[in-house]
Amino acid sequence: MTASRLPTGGRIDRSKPLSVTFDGRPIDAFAGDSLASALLANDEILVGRSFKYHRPRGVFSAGVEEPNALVHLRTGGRHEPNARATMVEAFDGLVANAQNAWPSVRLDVRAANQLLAPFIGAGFYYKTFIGPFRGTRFWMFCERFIRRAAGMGSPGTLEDPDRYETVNLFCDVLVVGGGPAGLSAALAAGRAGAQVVLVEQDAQLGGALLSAPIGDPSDAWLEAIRSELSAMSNVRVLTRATVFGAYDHDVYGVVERVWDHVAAAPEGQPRQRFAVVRTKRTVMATGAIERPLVFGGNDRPGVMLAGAVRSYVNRYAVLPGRHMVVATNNDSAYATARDLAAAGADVTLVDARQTVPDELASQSRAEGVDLRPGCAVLSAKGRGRVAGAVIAPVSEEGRATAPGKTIACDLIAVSGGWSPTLHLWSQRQQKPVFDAEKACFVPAGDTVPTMTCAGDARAAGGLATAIADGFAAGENAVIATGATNAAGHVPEAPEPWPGDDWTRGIAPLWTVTRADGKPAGKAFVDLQNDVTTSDIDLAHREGYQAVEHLKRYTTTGMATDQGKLSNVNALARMAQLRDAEIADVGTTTFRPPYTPITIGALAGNETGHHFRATRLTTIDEWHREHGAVMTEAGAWLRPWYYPEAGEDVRAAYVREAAHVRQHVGIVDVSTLGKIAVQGPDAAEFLNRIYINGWKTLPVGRLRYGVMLREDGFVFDDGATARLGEHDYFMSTTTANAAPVLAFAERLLQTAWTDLEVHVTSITDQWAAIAVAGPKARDLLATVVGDADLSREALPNNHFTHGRISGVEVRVHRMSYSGELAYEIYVPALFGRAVWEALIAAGGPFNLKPYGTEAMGALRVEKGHVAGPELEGRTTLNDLRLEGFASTKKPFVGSVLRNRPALTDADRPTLVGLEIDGEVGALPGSLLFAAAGPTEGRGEGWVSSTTYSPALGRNIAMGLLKNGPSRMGETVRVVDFVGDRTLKATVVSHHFFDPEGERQNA
Amino acid sequence: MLERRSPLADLIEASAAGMHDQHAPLILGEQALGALWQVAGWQDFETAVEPVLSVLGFAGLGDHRSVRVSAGTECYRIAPDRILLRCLDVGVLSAALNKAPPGRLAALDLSHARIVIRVSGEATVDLMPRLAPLDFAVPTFPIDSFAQTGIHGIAVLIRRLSEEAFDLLVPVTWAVSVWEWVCENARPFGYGVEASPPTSLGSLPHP
Amino acid sequence: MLRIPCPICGLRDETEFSYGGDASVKRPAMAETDPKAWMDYVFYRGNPRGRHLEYWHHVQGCRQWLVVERDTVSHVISGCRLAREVSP
Repeated sequence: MTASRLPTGGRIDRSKPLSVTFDGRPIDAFAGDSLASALLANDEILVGRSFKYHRPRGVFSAGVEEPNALVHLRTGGRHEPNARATMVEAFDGLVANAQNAWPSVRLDVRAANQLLAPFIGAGFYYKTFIGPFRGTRFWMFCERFIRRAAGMGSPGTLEDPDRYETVNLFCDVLVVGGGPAGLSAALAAGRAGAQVVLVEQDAQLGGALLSAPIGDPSDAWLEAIRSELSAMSNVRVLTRATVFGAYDHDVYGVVERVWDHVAAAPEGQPRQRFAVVRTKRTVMATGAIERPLVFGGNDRPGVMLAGAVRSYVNRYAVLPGRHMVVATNNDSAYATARDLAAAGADVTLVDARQTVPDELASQSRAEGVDLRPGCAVLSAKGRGRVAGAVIAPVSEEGRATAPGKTIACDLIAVSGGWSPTLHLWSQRQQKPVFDAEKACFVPAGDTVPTMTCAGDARAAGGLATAIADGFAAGENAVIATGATNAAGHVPEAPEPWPGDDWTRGIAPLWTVTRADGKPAGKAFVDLQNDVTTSDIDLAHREGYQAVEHLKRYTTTGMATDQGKLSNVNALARMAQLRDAEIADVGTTTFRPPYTPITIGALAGNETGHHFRATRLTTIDEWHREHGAVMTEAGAWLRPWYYPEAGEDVRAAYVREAAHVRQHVGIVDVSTLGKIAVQGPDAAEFLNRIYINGWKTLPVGRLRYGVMLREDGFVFDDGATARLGEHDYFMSTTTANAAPVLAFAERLLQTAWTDLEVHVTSITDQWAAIAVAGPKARDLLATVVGDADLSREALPNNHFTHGRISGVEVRVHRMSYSGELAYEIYVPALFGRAVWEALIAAGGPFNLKPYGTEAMGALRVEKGHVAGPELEGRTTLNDLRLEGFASTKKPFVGSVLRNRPALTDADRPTLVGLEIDGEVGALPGSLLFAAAGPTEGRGEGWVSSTTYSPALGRNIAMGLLKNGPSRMGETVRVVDFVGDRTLKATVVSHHFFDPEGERQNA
Repeated sequence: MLERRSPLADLIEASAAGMHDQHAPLILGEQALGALWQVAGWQDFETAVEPVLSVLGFAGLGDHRSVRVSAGTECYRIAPDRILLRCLDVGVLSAALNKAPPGRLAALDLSHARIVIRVSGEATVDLMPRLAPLDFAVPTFPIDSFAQTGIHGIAVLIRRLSEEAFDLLVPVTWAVSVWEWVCENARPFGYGVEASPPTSLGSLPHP
Repeated sequence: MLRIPCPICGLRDETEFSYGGDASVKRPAMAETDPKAWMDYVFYRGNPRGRHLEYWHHVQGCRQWLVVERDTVSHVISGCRLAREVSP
């Protein structure tokens, strides 16, 4: 007989049919169906193939714990692998395909893996590919094939067209789970006036109540609670939302599937939303997940969880079979048996307990159920789907006490007990305790003071208990947050269904075996990863007995369902083998996410252009309008070069750099870090952080400074100007602006709290423009008013105030390029206007803009150190800057810079390199002597490189062992990555105008 | 005199031209900053800054959350020993700063270092939690209070003007990026852009 | 995610802060010439299980350096003060 849709009943809307496709076949579905319920209703029993053995698999559950019905969902850029059909809301236009099967799920060639089963049990690749093959390429050879065969679904390769977003939420009480306990908790907290957030993963509130038949008394209860909650403005209900992680300090991660239930989100709307919830108290009312029974062939399509079968019948109006066997060790499956019988199925109820509660027994017999106490299912029979169940009387340990008898059936509904969903509690670094009486792990008391578990999540008991438990948890949560209204009375619980208290009288039944203790066929513990009892036995035999070893050696619990159905059964079996208590075997660590979440949701809007913020100078638009090609300098975008007709970067920078030396150029240097250093002790502060002295710098002067790190290595350099008696203007490199400021603040607030100094970033306040070249002064003289820029009035390292078209500016005489050069500091919002004024005035002087590439070429020609030399591994001595360091005062790093390793004469030191030939050296290339082997780290490396327009050749700066004493020597420059060797001559790094005549003009 | 131009000027002109929907649930725009000065001190900060503050009509340093307004000047206490003073009329601030006792205060002009993005409209209370990790409910973030926090990784100062309006003080070099980020997060709600010329003297929000 | 109770700004996400290392070490005086004192300060740290005093810099906030008392096992934060008010 086949699975089918019942003519009436269910919480689906038969007036809204949907078109759904599975493996290219049309599937009848209605609004309210899940993909799994629609598949079952259409008798699509075979929905996938298992991971290793490619055994046929069918829908097993009705929830997040689903191990088998994993499908490829959607197409194109929205393709998604490993989607659980039980959690997919059916929608019009839904397209799904089976995965892990070729050519189709009905005929899968890799089912042949089953023949290899004896060889591919647990740990097979550890053993097969090490040992005699160690040191060979055998593993890498096999790995190619294994990789292709491994995995479940295949990932998408196209760009995701949807948008996602992130939101921050704050509340007093977070309630996780919208079933009876959670609803009661939210009600109590809401009535008391707290700010409540209730999160439910289903589209509907109700939890287990949704599996009750339509018209059940719980329907009215649910409706009353739901409407009271929706009327409270202080209660926010999120449905289709999963709390996936519990983090420190009561922070929770939630993903809300805003528009997953339609073909595509409306234009501009986020498909999913990641909410970071910060709460004061949490009630975890996450319910419990049913456990399977372990017996031979228990993975056949047609073996399903008993609670799930009841859901399909009552919620989705699907009868998954006609002749059912319900196998259980606890009360809860009696409700399933009752509802199946009421739907017209013929039911055999097999209860492993010798004595079953009277009222349950008589009720089921009255409903026409064939009840057999003291019996269990030994094995499932059938090829491709269940065709029969072998039933035998069993002892308390689950061993058959008589031969089994086969009953024809097309469905076996199993219940081995329930496991509280305590993942979020455990993620707070808590170890659950095993309650032997209830045969499950429970959260241990009050170990997380801000989180209370309620209802089935702590195995509290039946429906009425869950409601009272939840309500009390809500009340207590609110007391802790100080809300003052009364919570009122616990809402009266509705009449429960049979066996609502699964904790009552449960008889642990971890494996069902023949009389000899062996399962009658392959008995699966972890369905998704194809782990059987024999794998666990193997792990035990081979010494992998600790729970962490068990998990990793067998891979039980490591699939996308994270062992929701398998963990307890696996470690219970290990406990049996070890003859230990389950509590002693323990559990592994629970980690977020509770269920899989898409990376897109976590990224939110921070993708593409918005991956991180971009920093722009106030002159930026001018550069773009004038054709500048931009480059990234950290978060900044800067002009790289300004190509003229047909120029590539090389042609452009060579032309720009030459132009600066021949005429005059203008470059935007606003990105330099600028820090205001103010206060009576400013000079003392500068004296402590810079290697050189600052006490004698007069107002109107500026000075180059070098800073070390606390460990004695060079940190940063820049020029600092004295604007006033207690007022200094410090500049740093672009890259180190933030670290230097943070370091200065650290020193002033933690170590030198007596110094009266304030440091403040003014990088944003000032735009900075450098004008450099032989005609620089002449040009500026025509533009800058109220200032004497003559050679005598403004020598190097001086500054003056002036005006450009009415705007107050400062003109610093300072050269990076080695030419006659000035830096003009302009209040930032006037930056572009002043730049344009300079450009306009520059016509007669042949002024042209230049970018960072030309700027770099000019400074390498002069041999100035910059970022590539100040990279954190170099000392003052390495960079030939030790002469700058004061001998009269201590400064940051002054003691540790003299450590023997840092003053070793053999350390590579700064040199220039004239490269032979047409090809330039790559930074990072290693330097070797002219002759001998080129192995190891060499004698130095190349730090900066450029083609020099001034010298007409390729040059480089680098560090070379004993550099200064090797002037004129030929060395080899080796690029191991690109596999190229060049020859170079060691020279002084002051390649161009070493006397500085041009910059001192 | 040359043009003092905000980095947002072109963006806002372009957007405002295309978006006529001034009844959108969100209105985004730029406000004039005016003059912005940081005044900082040391152990005797409270006494040293008193002459400056009393000229402006403020008593004491204030707390770290309230925006105090007096005679067109706003005062923000951003650190134990630092305040920000904002006024559309720079002359008012200069006159006050002249009262500073010599050597005891550090005054710093930041008038070109920030721009002001104004967010208003009924969807503001939904937009703000997408921009910054703060609780924007009125009881926890009252009217005329401020907070220093981060938007898109950038340090900003957020000031609440009314139940549904906030000013964001954003560093100038990050302004374009933060504006685009705000717009991106505002897209699902729908928004209009208000073209208020940032260089003109707009009015400071009244309490 | 840690939530740090900044004395100026209130309870904030750790992402607004930059971690500054052990706050129980005292920087030697500038006049200190013994390399060992500097080596200890720059390189050597305890690794306590439990109570730890550490610096956090509120970079997306008031820019104050704070001394936070955090349990390295449970992450419980039991104190947070302005660094300038605390001497190591």
